[in-house]
Amino acid sequence: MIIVNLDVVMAMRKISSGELAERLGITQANLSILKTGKAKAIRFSTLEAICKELKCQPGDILEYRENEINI
Amino acid sequence: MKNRNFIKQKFKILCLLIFLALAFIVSVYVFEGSTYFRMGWNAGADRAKAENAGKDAFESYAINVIPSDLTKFPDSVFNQKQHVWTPSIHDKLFVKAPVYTHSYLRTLLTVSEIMFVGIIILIISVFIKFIININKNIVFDKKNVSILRRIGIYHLLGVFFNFMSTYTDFRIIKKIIAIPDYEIKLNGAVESGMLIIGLIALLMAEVFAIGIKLQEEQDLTV
Repeated sequence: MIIVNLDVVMAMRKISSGELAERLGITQANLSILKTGKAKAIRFSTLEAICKELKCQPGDILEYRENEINI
Repeated sequence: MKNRNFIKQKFKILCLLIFLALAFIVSVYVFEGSTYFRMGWNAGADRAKAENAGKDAFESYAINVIPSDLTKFPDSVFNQKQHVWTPSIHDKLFVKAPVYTHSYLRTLLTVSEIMFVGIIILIISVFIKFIININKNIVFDKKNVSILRRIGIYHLLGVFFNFMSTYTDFRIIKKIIAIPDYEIKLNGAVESGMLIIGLIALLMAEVFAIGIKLQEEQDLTV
């Protein structure tokens, strides 16, 4: 399954959810959906904006792990 | 927004047309039902009188017939325009015959007919709920999927109970009536219109279920 490590990267960059949501131009609710792993899909434009704001690579945010059941 | 209003307006017009069709069907059923009720009431009164007088009681049976040999015209009717007797074939007949008192078939017939009427009432009430939901802008919702599934299942149950009542009636008729040169046939046992509507409603329910899943995915796309 795909694990979203956005909270880890955010903690490393010391940026709050509210601030990141504002910089990305998305709502805090949507950012929360992404952080908690409830999201079914992520747009390339959102991923690009996250990478740009957090100065990281998509691989830093998304990770593939085997043998984990997606609930 | 304009497009959405247009869709809603179209939907309202369709609902109105469906309601008009339903009202027409119900009024026809009520009219026919009252006629048959009156006939049944009179037949019951006649039967009671006959039984009190120690005579055999009779009642009317509507039967569908087909000639045994389709190349022959086993009957004739008087054509008043040309004043001649002309060959004819009967397709539907009302026949007076002794009252069939076999309790098992009688009970089955009555139960099937009551269940059929109950199913029709259920279909109408569930359909009204569906329209109310749409008017409240509750469209792609699990409630509507359940409603559509219920409409579909009720229609299929309606087809079943209609078949049961028609077939039981046919069995009763076959036991007490036989007409030379004709065979009694089982007609209209399967309500094809109701069957198709039921299957379409079930299909619509699945379409709605897919729609809900797509909407859920859309809502959870960041």
